[in-house]
Amino acid sequence: MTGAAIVGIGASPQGKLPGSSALSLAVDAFTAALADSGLSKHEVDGLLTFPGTTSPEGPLNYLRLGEELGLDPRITGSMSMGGGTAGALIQTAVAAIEAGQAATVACVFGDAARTGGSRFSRASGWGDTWDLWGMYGAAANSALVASRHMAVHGTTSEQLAEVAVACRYHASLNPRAVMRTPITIADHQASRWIVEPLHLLDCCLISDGGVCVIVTSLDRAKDGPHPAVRIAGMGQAYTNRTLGNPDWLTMPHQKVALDAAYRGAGVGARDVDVAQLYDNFTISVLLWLEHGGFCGPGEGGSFVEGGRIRLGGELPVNTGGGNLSESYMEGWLHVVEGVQQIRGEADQRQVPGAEVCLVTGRGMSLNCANAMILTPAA
Amino acid sequence: MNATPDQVARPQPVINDMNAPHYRALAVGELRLQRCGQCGLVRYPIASICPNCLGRESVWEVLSGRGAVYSTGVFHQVYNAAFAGQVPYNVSIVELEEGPRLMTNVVGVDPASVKVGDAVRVVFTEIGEGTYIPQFVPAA
Repeated sequence: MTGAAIVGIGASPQGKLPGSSALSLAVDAFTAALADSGLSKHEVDGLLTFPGTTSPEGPLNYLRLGEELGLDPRITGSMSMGGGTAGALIQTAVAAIEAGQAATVACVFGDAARTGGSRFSRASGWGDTWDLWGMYGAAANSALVASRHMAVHGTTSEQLAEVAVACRYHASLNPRAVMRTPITIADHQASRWIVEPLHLLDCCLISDGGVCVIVTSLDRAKDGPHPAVRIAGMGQAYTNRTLGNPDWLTMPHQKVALDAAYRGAGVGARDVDVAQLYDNFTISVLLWLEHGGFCGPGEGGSFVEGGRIRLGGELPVNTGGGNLSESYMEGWLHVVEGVQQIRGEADQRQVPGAEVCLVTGRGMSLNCANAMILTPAA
Repeated sequence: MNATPDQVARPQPVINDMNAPHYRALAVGELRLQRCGQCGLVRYPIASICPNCLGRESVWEVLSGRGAVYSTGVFHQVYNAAFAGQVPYNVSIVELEEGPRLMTNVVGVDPASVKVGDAVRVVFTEIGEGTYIPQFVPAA
């Protein structure tokens, strides 16, 4: 168990926000989270940031945002791990708090990815970049994961559709969500190919928005206006290799991160009431379910059938709508939704009696994985 | 209107001291990758040091060019106008008999007909003047 808790969550408006910038969205998120926490700005002595894809200052984002907010933190910095960054920053905040380097850390992200000229479609690879073969964008990595999963395990596109349909249904209940019109498996099947075997509706959104999560010690967390949410367990694992890693597409590092989070919290898959699983593409949810021990290896496709991951099902997943339908905040809103579930403040989306929430993140070319277990602090 | 393929040049490799032997070999119909002089690993991507044992010595070994499709997909989305005339096109990861996996294309067949596990062999495709890349075709 860690000695830290989340006491503030905040998000800017989400979606297509002309005139916004990475900075303006990060500022909006920070002020919203600060108000949610009931803390004053001067109590925030740590600032950790994700520059996202459109911050002109890039890795110096912590300096820019710190200046804008008038903060003089005891610990600060920026990390860029794509969809793995939210979890990595929050876990770094926990470590800093436990080490006595800071009392209260704001983890902040803003990105005008939709209107600000983000380039998610660039090719990967450092030396011989994959554009030599026309291999571009994030969808293609996951298409190759899905293609292999289908060939080895018999997973079907209709099973992937179950993930998209569940996320959209959850988004329909979420006023923060960008895409709220319910879809069917047939809608998914009729949507155009992006990189076969992935259809358009297998893919996450691209969104403008900002999110902030404020972490403090358990002692300080008692006094807030909302129930504090303990980061009971946490884990990270990485591979810095893609083609050079024989297991790259199966991402066993995810299981390492999950096992560490479970171990730290003293829980297992059967204890999880609700899960926020990083869904850049539908196939990712299947891998998380398998690595998380909710089903056996290769069984993710059959697991998600029949509404099992919808609200009311055995394991509600991505109850806010996820990257697929809520907003593409690179996993930051997965944390926010997890906190709301444990607070019991998720309104129509509330999983009754939720006391254990799993939150996962993953970024770059499947390289950076993390997991956290959230529980009530009291 | 999107630019036509003729208007947008296809991406070209950045050839440097480290990878030049690979590209020189491709131009004469050989697939060469580095074999570590210390642990024997045939590595890809091309690198200055062995990612297994950190050995500095390596030799550019001629490989069989035979392998199997590890995973495969079909691009319908155009991310770079240079490929606008090629969609739908295949992108596959091919696992060579010697171990390394390459990002590549399986060409000369319906792109959606390529299956995981298919046996393939290398072909050398000129994408710029004197510049070749390895692609694959079904092994006859």
